[in-house]
Amino acid sequence: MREVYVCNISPYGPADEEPLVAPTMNFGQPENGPRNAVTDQKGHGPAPSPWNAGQATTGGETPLLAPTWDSY
Amino acid sequence: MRIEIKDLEGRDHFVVPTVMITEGVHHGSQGPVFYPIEELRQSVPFWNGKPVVVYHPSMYVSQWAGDPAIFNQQKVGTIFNTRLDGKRLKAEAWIDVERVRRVDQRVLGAIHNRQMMEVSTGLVFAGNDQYGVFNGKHYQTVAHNLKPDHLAILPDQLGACSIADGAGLVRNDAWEEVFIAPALVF
Repeated sequence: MREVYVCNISPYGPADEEPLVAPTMNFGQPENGPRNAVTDQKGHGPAPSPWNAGQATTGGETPLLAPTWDSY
Repeated sequence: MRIEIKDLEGRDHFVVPTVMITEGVHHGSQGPVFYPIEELRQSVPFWNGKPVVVYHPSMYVSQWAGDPAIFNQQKVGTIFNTRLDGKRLKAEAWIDVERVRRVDQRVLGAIHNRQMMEVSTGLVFAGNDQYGVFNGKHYQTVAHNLKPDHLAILPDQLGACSIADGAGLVRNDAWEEVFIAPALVF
């Protein structure tokens, strides 16, 4: 027996035409690096993590484990 | 179909009935592989807690979903309550409401509209290069000792075990009541 990794995607679908990144996909990542980098590109201090970024616009929920950026 | 919203780690999640794969021959990245019911049964407990991602990880970074980059870019939920129902491997896809809104709104639309969507399992198995036929379909390997890695949602692609084969997101015993979305059009 041999162990193999398999993705159960059909070879008969459009997947073999070209890798697809749907125009509606929004991964929330900047082009030049991870979003949760310690400092942003303009040097304005710590950038929010993707989670905290979402929370910041909805009322600032406190993360359960990690300190908030405001605590630094 | 009733899709509940439950709390997981302080976040709202859609609890989406899903059929991940069925017994049979499925033609994925390793060619036609036979997945026996007993192998699916033995894999049941190992699916719980595995990530649900949009598209397979191999499209972007690596083949494994257990990677921070994959979680940040593609993960929308987690698999729970996996069980075998007849010849179908069923589970609940707990889909994070806010995450799916950000990652791919087509998936959010499918959940809201109770439309089935194609899914695809990512896993490791031990193959034995055993040729045969099951239900009229030829296979070249029998999958043993399944090690689940992830479940991929395919908004515009076809799963090897497709909706037509009995799988799909937003699918349960009352699947006849659900509008079956065209597999490749959204």
